[in-house]
Amino acid sequence: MPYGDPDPTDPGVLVGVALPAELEATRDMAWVFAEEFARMGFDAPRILGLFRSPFYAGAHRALRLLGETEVTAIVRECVGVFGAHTGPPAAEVTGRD
Amino acid sequence: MARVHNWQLGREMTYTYDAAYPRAQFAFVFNINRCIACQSCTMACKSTWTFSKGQEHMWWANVETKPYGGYPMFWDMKILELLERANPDGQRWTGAPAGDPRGPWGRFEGQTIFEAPRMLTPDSARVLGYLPADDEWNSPNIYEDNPVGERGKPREYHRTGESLPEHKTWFFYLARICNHCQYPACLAACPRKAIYKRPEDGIVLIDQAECRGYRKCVEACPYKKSMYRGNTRVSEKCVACYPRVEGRDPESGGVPLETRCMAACIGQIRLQGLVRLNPDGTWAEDRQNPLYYLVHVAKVALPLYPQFGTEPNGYYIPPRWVPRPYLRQMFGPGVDAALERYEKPDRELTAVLQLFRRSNKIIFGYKVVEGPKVYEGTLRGRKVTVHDDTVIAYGRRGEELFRTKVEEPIHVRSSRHANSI
Repeated sequence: MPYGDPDPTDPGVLVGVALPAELEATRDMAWVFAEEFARMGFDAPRILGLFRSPFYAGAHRALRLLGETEVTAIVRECVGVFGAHTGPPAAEVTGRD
Repeated sequence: MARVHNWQLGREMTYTYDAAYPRAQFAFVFNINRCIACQSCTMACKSTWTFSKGQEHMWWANVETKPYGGYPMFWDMKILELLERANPDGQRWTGAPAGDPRGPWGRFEGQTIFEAPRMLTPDSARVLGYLPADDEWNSPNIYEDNPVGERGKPREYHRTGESLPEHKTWFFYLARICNHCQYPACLAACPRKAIYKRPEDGIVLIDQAECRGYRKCVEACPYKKSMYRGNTRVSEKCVACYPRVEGRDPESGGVPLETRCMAACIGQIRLQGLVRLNPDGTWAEDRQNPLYYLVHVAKVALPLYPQFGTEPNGYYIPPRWVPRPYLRQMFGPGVDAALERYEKPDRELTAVLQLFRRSNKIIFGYKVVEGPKVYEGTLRGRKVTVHDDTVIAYGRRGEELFRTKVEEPIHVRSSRHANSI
């Protein structure tokens, strides 16, 4: 194995070269984002806010690629399955000790 | 060379020594859908086991960002390339995943690292491998989260990259420790027989008194989990926290505990235990052992690079958003069925996934008690029903360790104490 600099033609070393994800991979990631945050107790508006924020680059990119309509549907389904019945009791929502 | 049966490959293969199997085997399942690369595991291991000068290169446990990262750099690509050169276009599987415990994922027709003789250098070498260069060991967390850089400028990030990086690709975190393989390449390669596999739990250890630092194990281990320490001039590796597994940790009360990296996992991705083996090395049926269930019943957990041939005992639930060809190369032909099950879990799988990290004690059995239906609707076009079942975990002597439910309570820290710890 070489002891010198990595070979710049080695795709593993080409930092910054995108391995383009298929649209299906982006869609799968959007499902995962929505499901994980729904499991953590986020409601639909909060999860959608996360998708809309450029700070959450991965989720935001999925929103740009898939569109608001599809992402809204994904979030709605995930909150339905993983969120609706796991909401925190009212006392915890209001933050009373 | 002896002939041994590798059940992960569904066939016999050559190995340096005759088959000899432990009574029980240390094994673990990592659900890398949930790993956030916080490195709590890495630091838990490091702060427990490695110390003093030279420890800076000892990363027995690590988490790397795939597909860019790796420790040592590009370890998996390099060994895959060596195997491909040894057997061009021949690294293929035949058959289909089925229920046969002696070959659940079909049959691997290619060559393992023990069977690629054309590439062995010198001729006396027992295992196909390579010795990473020093600089490949220098960056344990290289390329974490940030593949942003300019084309053709390796190891340089954008000089004006003020804005947050945006991944225009997929990636995932691969948490790794020693796989305590059934057919360890490190053990096969050691000319001093300084490496041994314990009969009671299958943990693979390097005898520090016998090791002379020839680095044959470092060269042979395809996962590069044997590490040479320059200042002590011997090699080291993960010890599977064996005092904890034996139940000799002071906090254990005589009960087997999971390793430090497992116990520290805040992402709750890890479950570790001991599985019973048949005389032929396959897993003995143990239906209510959660590891047996995840690997052999639900079939959602798959070995890491089974084609290497070492029969690793680390199993992974593959990340579901990653393109399938990459996953099939990394985890073998069982990927599609595993993800199908994981994405649409049945009642039992949903409950068993709740066992992860509810206790530091090793779980030897579980029972699911059915609860009420709490939701019915659709998910990705399929009907889905959620039940609030209870799963009960049992220890080695059948004592109850804990019970937990599918529906977890959500606790929100009050605004008055938002940051108090």
